[in-house]
Parts: sequence; C-alpha cells; structure tokens
Amino acid sequence: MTALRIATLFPLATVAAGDEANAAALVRRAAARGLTTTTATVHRPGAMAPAEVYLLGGTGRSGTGALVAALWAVDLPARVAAGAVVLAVDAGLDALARSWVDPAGREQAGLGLLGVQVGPGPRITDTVATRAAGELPAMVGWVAHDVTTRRDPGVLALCQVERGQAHGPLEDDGVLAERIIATRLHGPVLALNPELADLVLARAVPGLPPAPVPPEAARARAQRLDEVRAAPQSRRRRR
Amino acid sequence: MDRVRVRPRAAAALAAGRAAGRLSQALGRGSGSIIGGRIALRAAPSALAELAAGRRTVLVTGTNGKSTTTALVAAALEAAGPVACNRTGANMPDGILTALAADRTSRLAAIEVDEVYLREAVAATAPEALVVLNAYREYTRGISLAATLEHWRAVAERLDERCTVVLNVDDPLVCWAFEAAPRRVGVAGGLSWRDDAALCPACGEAHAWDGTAWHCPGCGRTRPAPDWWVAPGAGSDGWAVHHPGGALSGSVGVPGRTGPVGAAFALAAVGALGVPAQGAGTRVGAVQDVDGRYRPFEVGGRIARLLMLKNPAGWAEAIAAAREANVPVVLAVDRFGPKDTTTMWEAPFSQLAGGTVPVTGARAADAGAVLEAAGVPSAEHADARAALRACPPGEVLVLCNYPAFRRLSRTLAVAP
Repeated sequence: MTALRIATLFPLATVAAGDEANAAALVRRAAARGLTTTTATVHRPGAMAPAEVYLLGGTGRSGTGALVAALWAVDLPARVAAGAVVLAVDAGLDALARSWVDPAGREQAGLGLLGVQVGPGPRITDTVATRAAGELPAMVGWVAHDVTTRRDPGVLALCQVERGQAHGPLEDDGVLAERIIATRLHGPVLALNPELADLVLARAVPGLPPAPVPPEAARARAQRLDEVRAAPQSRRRRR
Repeated sequence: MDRVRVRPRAAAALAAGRAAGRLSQALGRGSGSIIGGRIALRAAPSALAELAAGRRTVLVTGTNGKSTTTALVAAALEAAGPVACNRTGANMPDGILTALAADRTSRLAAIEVDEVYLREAVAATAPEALVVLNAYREYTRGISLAATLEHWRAVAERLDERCTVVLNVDDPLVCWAFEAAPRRVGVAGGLSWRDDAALCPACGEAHAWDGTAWHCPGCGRTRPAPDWWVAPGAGSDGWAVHHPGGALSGSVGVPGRTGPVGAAFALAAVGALGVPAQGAGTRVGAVQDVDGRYRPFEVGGRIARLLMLKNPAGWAEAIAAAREANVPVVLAVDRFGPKDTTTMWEAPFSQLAGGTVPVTGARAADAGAVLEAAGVPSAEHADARAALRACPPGEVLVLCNYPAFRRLSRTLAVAP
C-alpha cells in the first residue's frame, strides 16, 4: 500500500512543549506493523503537506490565535470531513474547540471541530496519571496550562484521570471523537504511551494487528506512574 | 581601587539581602545568592544600577551557551584588569546584583543575563558590549520565542549608541531582533538547531539555507557577513579566530566548537572595549572550567567532561560534538519536575547508533526509552562512575540534564 502520511502542523505558532516528537512515536508504532510512513513539518499554510494524520501541539494561550488562523488557511475542517485524523495536544485542543480564551482573557472562536469550550482557569503544572479503560492502559503525561475545558453534553472524554489535574477540577482528560483525539497531556504523550499512538493509527488504518510495547518505554512510564501515585495529594496539587 | 559607592537606601537593602543570603545558606537552601539579591532589589530597586555605575560592562545573553561565553569574556577582559562576574550562573537581576555586591572594586564586569531580563539588565548596567548568542525555544517557563524576540527588538531600538551588539550572524532570529542596534559586530557563531529559525520573523516566509548562509525569499533579509569567524588552525585541537585585524590561533580548554566560537564572541566583545586581542586570546585559551563544565574528572582512566543540556538544540549540539570528536557518551538524567526529560525526545540520538550507551541517574529509564526509540541500545548503571567504567579508557562526554549536572559536578570532584 502507499505510505501513511503524517504531518505536524505549525509547531512554531505555539510555545514549545516537546510535542513534535509525537510524529516519530507514530512512525515507530506504524513500523511495528510493517506500515511505511512519511513525515512532514508544515510551518506555513502556503507549504501545506496533505496527510492522513495531522498532529497539533504546543502550550500556552499566546500562539493559539495564530494556530487557528493557519488551520483555517489550510481548511483543516474540510480535511477532517474528507477523512483525515487529528491528534490535538493542549494548545491544539484549544484551537479545535468551539471557543478558547486569549491572553487578555477574551473569548475567541476556535475551529469548532470539537464540542468543547475553553475558558480561563488557575495555572496548573502537574504530572497526570490516567485510568486504564478500553484500548488504553493507565497513561502518564504532564500538563501546564491556565484554562478550564468544558465538554458539551454527549462529547466523550479521552480518559479518566487517576492522579493529577488534567482539566483542573475535572476528573477526566481530553476528547475522543470519530476523527479527532485531543488531550492536555504532554510528555511527549505518544512516546510515553504507545497505545495512544496505536489509537491514533487505528483511526487512519483500521484493522491493525497488536504490537508489543517496547520494554524501555513501558518501564519509563511505570516509574512515573508509581511516583505520581505515591506522591501525597498536597505535593501533587502545588503549582 | 575605590569601592563602588551606593546610596544609603541601597546600602541598607544590600545588608538586608546579605543577612537573608547567610540565613538561606545556613539553612542549607543553596548558595543564598538569589534570595539575598531578591530582598535587596525589593528594598531598593535602584541598587543594581548603583552597583553597576562606573563599571565597563559586557552583557552576554541568548538561550544556550551563556555561562561558557561569559566565563570566556571575563577571562578576556582580565587582560585589562580585575573583572566582576556572576560565575555561578545566577543570571536574573537578583543574582546579578549579588555578584556585583560581592565585588565592589573591579571596574570591569562580564555579566550573563537571562534572555527574559535583558531590558532590566541593559537599563541598569549601561553595557559597552552586548553579546547575543542565539534564540531557541525554551521549555521550562512556557515563554514564547516570539515574545522574547519582540522584547529584544524593543531593547535594540533604545540601545545607547556607545553600546556594541556582538551578534551571531548565523541566527536569523538574533539578526532580526537587533536590526535597530546602532553598532553591530557579527560573529559566525553557528546554529546547531535550525528548526526554531525555520520562518523569517519579519515576513513569515521560510528561510532558505546554503551551508550556514541563510536568506529570506520573502523580504530579502540575508545573513550579514561576519566580522569574526573561526577556522581550523595549527595542531589537532588548534583553532584560529579570524577578525578584521588578522587572525589569532591557539588551543582552548573548552571542548568542541563551543571553545573557539565562544572565544570569537569573547574577543569581539572585549575588542569593542578596546582590549587588545592578543593578550585576551591567551587568557581565553587558558579557561578549563566553567562552574563545573568542561573540567575533566578522572575515573579509572576515563576522562569525563560534563555538559548541561536543557533544550533540543543543546542535546543536538552535544551529540554532534561527541560524533565529531569520536568520543563515547554517557547520559546522566535526574528528576526535575514533570518536564525533566521532555526535551530529549526531539534530539537526534540516532546519530549515536553503533554502540551501547551507558545511562545513569534517577531518570535513567527515560534515557533508555529515548535511546530505544532512536534505535540505540543502552545499559543502565547504578552511578556515574560505573557508567564511565563501561566506556573505553580515554575521553568521555557526560550529557546531563540540569540536576544531574549539578549533582555530578559535586560528586565526581571528590574521590569515591
């Protein structure tokens, strides 16, 4: 078959959080099934690379406006409607929401691909452990934001949170939609949690056989999960 | 030499800061330089300007390489007299204040400045030279690179015409930020990580690269010709720094390209103050240790040098240095909050393929996962000495995150 195309969109628009490494993590999980891939990093709408899987990320509110404008310029909604799959991390989630909040606290329109409203919230930096459910095991990642995330009725969360604050006071993280998987978790989240990479891949290439998680990645994740579960609540909740 | 005098309010503030610093030290909460300076600055906001008054100052800023370049600037300046310097890397206004308060007699100063505090540092110290090394994205505080570049641009627009900006012409972001500086001297400082400089900050077009030369097809901005550059010189580790007045050659204690490139920045900066290059060059070449960096630690026939890395650019540069010198590496990674190993995942560790890399530290599992993902086998060791002994005898580069660097520069200094 032809190679699966993976494109990281506009990483320089937002504040760096290591999410560009998600592309390589996806490539590794595809290779474990013998799938060939190509990767591209798109910096400008004029240099758009069509793909089956788009990756968004970064943190903070300062770059979300530029990210939204760039995603409109490449008509991401039309690409999703045509079957593309998107992983949206943190600032990427904000951009795809119905509304997000700019650095001055004003509500702004997002792409509206997710039934989510993002509002201002307390500043949180934390390690998060999620609960195993469905195809996903307990996952780990970190969050750093100052927003709240409100899902519309009927919109599914990606996972439940066991420890740490992903969405602030809410006890879940992210959004699981048909073509879009969104999360607040950085890590890079696909590198630390290969099963989430598998979930993204499965949206683009149905019927993938299972593949073992490398013991090194499993160990790194297990260590962080043990630590965050062992930490007292007050320490985990500090800023 | 006369002490730098300060007004009574600043003097009282400094005394309060010293007391707090001693208390912090006594409580085992670090060197006390930051808390002391913070208290003094709160009590007397003008204290930093008063302590800097009458000194001829070189400021050094950028994302990577500040501490090393500042140490080389200080060494070069010493050709003209004693130099005050924030040698421990405390590079925010509180730390700078503590360093200047501790040395009230030196009439020359070499000061490292956190890139986010450049405006305050320039206003307080009225530098004669400002060295700008590079502009990479930072990961710890969530500050956008665009905001830092805008801040720098505002600083450049208000710079005194007596200040010479010594800038890295290989970094298009630095060149743009300091376009308005009244006096500019260019150094070919290299750019180890181009991803962050993919787009022209002026017009948004993608930069075109040809070797180290860059230009913007959108607005026509292009790499300025350097006034100072480095070329291989005599001997295996020799270098030659070329400049308008000729060339200086020698060897340098700081390994990799960092040494000679840092020397070029330092010599260009002190040149702006009228310090002759020849004497300054000798002193720069003699620098062997920058707050625990580069100083060789001997462990069972292995000569270990520590590198402290905090962003993909730093990791990429260290990997390249190890490959170019064909020196084995050890990864030492400790715990440092939720993001402690995030920046490693984008670095090109696949370039280390071909051998097993020893890993150590509380985050050795992460290092092993990063290496596995890059196709590089690793072996975990209980401590850094064991990891070093797993390498063949000779030079070894120990690639560290911040806490591992701090820990190893202490523990490797004492016999086991």
